Amino acid sequence: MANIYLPDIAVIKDIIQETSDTKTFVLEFRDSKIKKAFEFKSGQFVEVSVFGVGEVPIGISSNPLKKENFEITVRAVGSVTNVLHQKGIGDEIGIRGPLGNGTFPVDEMTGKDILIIGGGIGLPPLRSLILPILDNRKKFGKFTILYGARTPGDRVYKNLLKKWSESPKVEFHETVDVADDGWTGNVGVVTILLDEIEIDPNNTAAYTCGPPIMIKFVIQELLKRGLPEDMIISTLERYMKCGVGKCGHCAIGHKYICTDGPVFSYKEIKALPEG
Amino acid sequence: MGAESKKILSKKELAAALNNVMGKMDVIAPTKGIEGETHFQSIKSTNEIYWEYTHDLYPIKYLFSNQEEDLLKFNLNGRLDIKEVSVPRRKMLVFGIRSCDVKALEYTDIFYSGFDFKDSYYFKKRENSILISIACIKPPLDSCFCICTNSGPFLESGFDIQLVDLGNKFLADIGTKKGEAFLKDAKVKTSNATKRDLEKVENLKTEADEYFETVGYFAKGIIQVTGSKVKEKLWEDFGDRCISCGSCTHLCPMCTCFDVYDRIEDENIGIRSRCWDSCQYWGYTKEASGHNPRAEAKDRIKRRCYHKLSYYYMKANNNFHGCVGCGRCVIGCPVSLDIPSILKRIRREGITEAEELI
Ligand SMILES: Cc1cc2nc3c(=O)[nH]c(=O)nc-3n(C[C@H](O)[C@H](O)[C@H](O)COP(=O)(O)OP(=O)(O)OC[C@H]3O[C@@H](n4cnc5c(N)ncnc54)[C@H](O)[C@@H]3O)c2cc1C
Ligand code: SF4
Ligand code: SF4
Ligand code: FES
Repeated sequence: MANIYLPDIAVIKDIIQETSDTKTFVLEFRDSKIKKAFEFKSGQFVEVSVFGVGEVPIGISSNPLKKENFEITVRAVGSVTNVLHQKGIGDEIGIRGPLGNGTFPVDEMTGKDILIIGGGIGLPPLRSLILPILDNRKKFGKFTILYGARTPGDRVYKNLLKKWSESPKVEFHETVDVADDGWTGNVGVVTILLDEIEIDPNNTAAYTCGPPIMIKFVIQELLKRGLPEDMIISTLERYMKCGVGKCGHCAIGHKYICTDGPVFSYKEIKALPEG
Repeated sequence: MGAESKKILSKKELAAALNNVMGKMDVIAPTKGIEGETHFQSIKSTNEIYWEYTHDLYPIKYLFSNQEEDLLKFNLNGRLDIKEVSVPRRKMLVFGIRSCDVKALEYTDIFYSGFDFKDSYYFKKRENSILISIACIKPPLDSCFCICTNSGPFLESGFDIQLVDLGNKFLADIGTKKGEAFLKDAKVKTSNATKRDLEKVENLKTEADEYFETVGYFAKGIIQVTGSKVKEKLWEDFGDRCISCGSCTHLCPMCTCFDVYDRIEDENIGIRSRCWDSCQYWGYTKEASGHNPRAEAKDRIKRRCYHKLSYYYMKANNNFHGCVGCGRCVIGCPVSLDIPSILKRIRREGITEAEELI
């Protein structure tokens, strides 16, 4: 019987300092067989082990079409994530996954306009969706990305954001909650960006990920603009321990965020009782 | 299995068989505690069995989902190596387990193999175990209400062998190949059940049912909880009373939640372990950001009731109620927020105004 709690060993190949408290880790499995077999879908996550401290769920932030390695982008907020931040290139950590059956639907949305709304550390999981869409840009209609961060210093993937803002393949808008001296862009919560764009409610799929309060307002605004409930797709975040539907922590109603999610349509979210 | 799986064996035969197998496996059976209470524990001789036993307040689940359990062992320095902590491969016979507890294990089997993920630590113990239950001819405790949750007093499945007490002999209902093999291996002399034996069992079943108070509010409660129709005021009232001690969930044979944590053994070795956790604890859903979706006791009680009583939950789990009516929470909760009491109040005063208009 396979042991569902036994992590595989991954080596940190590279570290990118995104912000003062957020780093991207490029990871590769130590065992070449596991490395070769590893495939994931946009929106899936892994359980990351820092041995002696614990295990945390982190969304995979790289392109599923990229094979040689994968990436996670982690904000240092507590015990495990802080110790992970102290790790260096060549250090080994544990990985279980990919986990999650509820993923971002992509192929189903062929021909549709795509609208992506990310907040703060919610952009990394969305990046696993954005990158393959850019690779297959012709399959979709209009492509819009909206991003909101607390301050200019909290923006992750700064190079990528610049690239998107200059690219003809995507309409990109961003905002910060609180500006600093150098900032000349938008100031305000991410939902203000919705006023800057045109949405065809009959042909748009919207994806969002971010803090719970942001998701709540984004969904409200999208509903106001007439998007159908099953075309609003969001991640749900809950305290997790096992990631495989056993420990019970992530349960809402009879759904388990780790195994039924973490991605749900608003139609599904609305049907969750006890939420 | 049909009528041919119903055998008769004398009590003496059975005791001899249990004594026979004790060298080969751990026999867990009801014993009498110093205050007359029942403890299921490993016995060395059938003389230790407490025949007038009730159920053990400490749930039988501890044999399979240990209160604390080491999962992994790893080194903290040098090239990383992670090893599984192996599960003791001892055979275990649980004798005298009650119907409610059998049902709870049947449910846990389903839950712990859900989503194509099998919990190997649990199943290695389960696969090495034999359950010999004794059907309840009378409710062992006033708090029993298995009849409302379809998990007793007599069972159709879940056991390896179900015994029915017929005076100086038992009728053995053999439920699985494992049960059949046990009788063979232990060289138990059995005879076929006669028509009269089977009639007697049927009569006992009917009598047993009559001992139980059928609680009409159970179905109604399920409808109210499933439809989120319970007044918020009532949840608040429950929340105000609950002291979040977690007894209800720790004692509950249907509760399976656990926490996982790492501990450092010495400067080079670390262990990853798990232990029982409770959805009634404040920290159970508290995220690193400080956000806590169930920061209030009322929402945690709602959660517990939702697991125990919602129809959707049943549908998602092979029609198992999240409660088997064992009554442990009735005994264990210091402020009487047990499932029957909660249901009674939901029935009497919990319905929303919209409902009252109908
Ligand atoms: C599906 C999913 C994807 C995620 N993706 C990312 C990501 O891409 N980048 C990122 O920086 N963060 C992500 N998070 C949040 C991340 O899991 C938490 O920040 C992290 O668990 C905090 O752990 P800690 O040990 O540092 O904090 P502590 O406060 O010390 O937490 C202790 C334990 O609580 C649990 N826990 C605490 N907060 C959370 C939380 N928010 N979600 C789940 N479990 C929690 C974990 O089991 C953790 O080990 C994601 C969460 C989920 C559920
Ligand atoms: S909820 Fe109470 S009565 Fe029901 S199975 Fe759990 S402990 Fe027993
Ligand atoms: S046993 Fe009673 S007081 Fe303790 S957590 Fe459960 S409901 Fe609350
Ligand atoms: S994280 Fe353990 S059940 Fe979802």
